[in-house]
Amino acid sequence: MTTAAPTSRIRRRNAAAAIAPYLFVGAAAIYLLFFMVVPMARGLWFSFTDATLLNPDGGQFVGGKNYGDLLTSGAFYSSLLTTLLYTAGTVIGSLLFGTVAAVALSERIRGRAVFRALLTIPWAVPSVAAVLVFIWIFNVESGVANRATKALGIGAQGWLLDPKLGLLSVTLVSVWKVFPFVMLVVLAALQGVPGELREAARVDGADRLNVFRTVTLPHIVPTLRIVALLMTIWSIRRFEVIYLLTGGGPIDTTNTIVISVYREAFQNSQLGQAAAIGMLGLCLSMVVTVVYFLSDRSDARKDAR
Amino acid sequence: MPALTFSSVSKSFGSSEVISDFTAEIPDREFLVLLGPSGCGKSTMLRMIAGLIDISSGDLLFDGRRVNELEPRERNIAFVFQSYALYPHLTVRANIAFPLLMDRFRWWQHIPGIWSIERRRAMRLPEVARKVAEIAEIMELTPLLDRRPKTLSGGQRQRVALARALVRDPSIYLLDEPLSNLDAKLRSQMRIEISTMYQKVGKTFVYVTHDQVEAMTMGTRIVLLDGGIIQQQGTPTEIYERPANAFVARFIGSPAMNLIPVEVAHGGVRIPDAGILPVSDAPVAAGQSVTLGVRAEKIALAASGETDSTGTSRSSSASAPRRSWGSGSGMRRPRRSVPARCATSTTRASPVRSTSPSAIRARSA
Repeated sequence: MTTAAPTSRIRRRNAAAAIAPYLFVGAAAIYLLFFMVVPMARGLWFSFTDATLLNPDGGQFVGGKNYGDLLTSGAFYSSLLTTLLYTAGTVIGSLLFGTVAAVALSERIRGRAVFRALLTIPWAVPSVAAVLVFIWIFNVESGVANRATKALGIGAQGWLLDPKLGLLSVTLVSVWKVFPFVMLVVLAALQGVPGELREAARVDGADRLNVFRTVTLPHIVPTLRIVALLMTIWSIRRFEVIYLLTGGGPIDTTNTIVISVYREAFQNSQLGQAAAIGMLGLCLSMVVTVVYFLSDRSDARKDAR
Repeated sequence: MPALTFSSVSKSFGSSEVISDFTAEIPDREFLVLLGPSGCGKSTMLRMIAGLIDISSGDLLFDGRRVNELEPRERNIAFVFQSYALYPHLTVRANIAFPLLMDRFRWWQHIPGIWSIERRRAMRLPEVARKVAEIAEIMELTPLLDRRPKTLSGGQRQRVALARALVRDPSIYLLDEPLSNLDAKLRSQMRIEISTMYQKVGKTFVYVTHDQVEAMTMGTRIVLLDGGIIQQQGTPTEIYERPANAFVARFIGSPAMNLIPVEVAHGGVRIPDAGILPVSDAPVAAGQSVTLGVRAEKIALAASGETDSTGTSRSSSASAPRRSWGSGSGMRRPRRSVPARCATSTTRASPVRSTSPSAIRARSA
């Protein structure tokens, strides 16, 4: 009996050690189960029914009808195209501006801290406040934007009303809103560029642009890549900026997938149809993520050589 | 090819001066070592020669031509960095070829897309390909040409860095503590390789180190810096045998030179509590306090039965291995009952050993 007690204690301790990780993971798993998996499963179920907003649980199973309707309607494809254009514009624009701003701020310029604080403001300002300001800027009669174009001789533009300009305006505001995030992350990555490497490139005869291309850019590419992924996913699902600026208009030219989910569900009350659009949007995000990880892996393999 | 002339070169960062009044003439094809403790400004000096940082005041001349305002690439120099500074995403071949490619770069190739095509073409140019192959052969890097720097060992990376420096046939080689990241065995091997390279290329080398062994074995000329001020410049022998001041005496040599406070007497110097040590030509008048510097290897133990100049208690030679020099930090003082004998070689031919006249120097304290 003298040996049995410690053995059982050890066994009990081993059992506890075996359970502990599950306990830690469990809390997060339960949270995700209730707030992610259940709604998603319900959404998936909705997408196969004709449920309406007034009677969410009274929907009849209609099979793939919702998907069929979507894939045969021009509206969905134009919404998909809008999403892709908006995403491409926002990602490219914010990466470009963010990187340029970060490189400029990493130089030893006077008042660097002030500039950094100023350039971070768009990211810090709540979307609603920022969008309200932009609605005034884009105001046809008295907006700053039109005063500028008038002064330049281009004349007043219907920034948020002209179907040709709607998507451009929305993209511009989005870029303005999110580029500080890229800037801050790239700025952090730039701190890690070895100074001796930059000096070596200068001694080897590289001018500033070549130093950037040979030393700085390869160093920040992994950061840019992950930022691009985040930006893409966030752009695909961005709602508030677009909805508050144009509500999907003018003439549906800014009607991205997320906007059309909202409109279908809460304006047309077609919960089933909305869920189907949402599911296809989810597929889009997943495709982007998978493409990212595949390209990341092939690059890692190339690097290992 | 160029002789280097420094005329009161100074560098300040803000209000703190890191190099002050650096004046030196370095003839062509010297192996100049900038030696000094950490933070003495030697790396700053090297970067000023390279043009990587501006000179605050004073002139730097290559062959009589002022180069203060020239960009690094206009100075025809090569720089080997402490961290090797290899481009991590480029292969060894592309790393070595990089200076050659930059020589061929024209501004309009900044137009997106142009350079990536042009780069590939330039790499295949016979003169580039031949030069890279030739240098790789010399540095024994041929089998590694398609590898990336991070798959190489420290010594191999060092050789790639040297190859990149060699490839453009620069007229000055600048090396910033290139061996400090290597292990002891590799370090002595690379020391020989760099010396061989120096013999072979016959150009001016400027080598920064805090390691006096590297300085003494590789340099043809040493500038010893401390706190941004030149302490002494000269050949390794001069610096070793005739240190200009106490700092140099303590910094050079292992163990450091013994510095003993003495008083000048007639015909020699009086070591406190010991006696008079004959010195042939005392530079100052009798009665003055001076510091006597003696290299440890110039001091010999007196054999048993031999008279010694200190005249204090003696012990038999059996116990003599007790080299009775205090092992305290910094200054070394002889213990009181020293059986050791200091003498100049002119006084007596001792069977044990004696000092050469140049070994004992008296200076004003």
